[in-house]
Amino acid sequence: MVDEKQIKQWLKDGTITSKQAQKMLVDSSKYKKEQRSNKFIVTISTIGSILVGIGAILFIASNWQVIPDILKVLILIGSTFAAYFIGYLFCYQNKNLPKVGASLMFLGALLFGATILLIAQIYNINANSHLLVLIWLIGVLPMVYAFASLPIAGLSSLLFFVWIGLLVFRNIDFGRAYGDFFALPVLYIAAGITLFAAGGLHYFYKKFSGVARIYRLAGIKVILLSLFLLTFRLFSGNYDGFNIRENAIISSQFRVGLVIFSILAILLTVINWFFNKTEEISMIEHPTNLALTVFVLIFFFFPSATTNIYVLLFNIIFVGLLVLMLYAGYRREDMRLINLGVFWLSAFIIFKYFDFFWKLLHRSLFFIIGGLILVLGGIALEKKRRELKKKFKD
Amino acid sequence: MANKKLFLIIGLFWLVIIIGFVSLKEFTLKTGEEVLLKTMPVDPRDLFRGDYIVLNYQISSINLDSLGTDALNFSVNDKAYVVLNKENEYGIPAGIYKNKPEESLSIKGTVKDIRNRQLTVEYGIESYFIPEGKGGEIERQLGRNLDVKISVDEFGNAAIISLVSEGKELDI
Repeated sequence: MVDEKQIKQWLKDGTITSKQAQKMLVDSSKYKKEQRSNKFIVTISTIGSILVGIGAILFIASNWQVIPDILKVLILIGSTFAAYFIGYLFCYQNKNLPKVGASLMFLGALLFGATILLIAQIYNINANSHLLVLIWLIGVLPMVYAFASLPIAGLSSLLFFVWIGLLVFRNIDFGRAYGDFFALPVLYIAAGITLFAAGGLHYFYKKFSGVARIYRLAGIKVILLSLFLLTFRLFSGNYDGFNIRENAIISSQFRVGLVIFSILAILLTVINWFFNKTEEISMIEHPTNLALTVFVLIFFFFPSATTNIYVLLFNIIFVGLLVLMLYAGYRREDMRLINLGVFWLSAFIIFKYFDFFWKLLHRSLFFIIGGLILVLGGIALEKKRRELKKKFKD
Repeated sequence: MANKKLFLIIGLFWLVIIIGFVSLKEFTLKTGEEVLLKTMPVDPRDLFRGDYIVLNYQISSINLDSLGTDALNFSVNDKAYVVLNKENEYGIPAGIYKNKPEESLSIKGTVKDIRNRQLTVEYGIESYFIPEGKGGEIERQLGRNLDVKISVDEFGNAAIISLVSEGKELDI
């Protein structure tokens, strides 16, 4: 839909008459109003669905004994299918409340997971079993493709990463698995790149371009969080010669998982590089993905116990990636990427300031400079962000 | 109407998953052989599903030397079948194998840890869910004499039937 500025320009150029311009302005205003209303409905009904879903999971967690197990299962199965069916009616059959319908189908996907957890609880299946999350994921994934549902694509991404975490720690006592714990960011970078690259493949089908974006954003978020952790000495270096990870044993299942996800990340990136020429894909992302995968593998298999060289490299990589992201966001006029970049850049500056200057500066100076950095940096970043947002809208 | 077909297929798929999940466990409970196992409970908290008791069985820790079996090269995550001899309803480990032995009561597990000749084996029956906030109370009531009645099916899969204290099934 064209905006007011464009219509006025066309009127000025003589491309359209004043009557046409008036009609277009009215239509444009109506369209914007409807869009705002739609967004509000989607927000409200999605929040509602999430609240009901969380309520159902908490209900199961409380293991309330007043209702017999069979009745609890029937209530939950009934609610699951009712939400799914009514959602379908609103969204596709009657098409009268498509936004609410989509939210109800999302609720159905949440309740399906709650049903699986309830049955697992009734039969006393081991707690924190990765299989339950996998079953939930397998159950809801077809909805992403049948209805091109974006909230369920988001839920699937979340379940994917939760599943990986539980899979890695299966059959392991958390107390003994601290080696795996400290290496977890490396695995999540490989998994994040896998999801990011898999998301790119969805651009082959126009219908799934929204799903592609959700997967890619989920991948980026996990990669950034993991990289951020690796910029600290606790995860990638040592403190005055002391390295908590030095004698940590990393399980063979962790190594196997890392190798599998790294191969997938490389394979999917290469497929995108050579076959995916859609405009949403930037050619710079492929070498970046490959270089990052290879680098984290080198870090994992050839760690340095005595130097902090990896800490330095991870800091450079993290900032470099943020710059790339901000550049891509600016080029594509994509506020989501810019917001994400600005958020992590702010977090990076704050944490690094605390990390580096806590011992070096006098306390009073530390807080004064820190405060100034926060206030002035915050103003500058917010000003730039708003400028870009306005510019993209124009 | 492609959407309608897909809608029905997904609904059916969900039903198959739910029914299949329940059927597998019901099969073990209905067709399996009942056996009692000795335990030592503690009480943590599950992220998703409220309170539960962690059940640590006598058969969770297997000493290869005491079983008198040939030295088998088990690795972490290997499948293991522990043969149980029934003595006064209690299952006592009598052997451990990589493949299911014919015509004997054996429970399927996964090797979790190996220290010298000591294996820690997990059988998928290490959690028992209880009402929220009742963990400490139940633990105090039970003391240390807790047994678990389980059912083991012909494939070695196990499912918990009930908790047993001083010969009585507990109504939790």
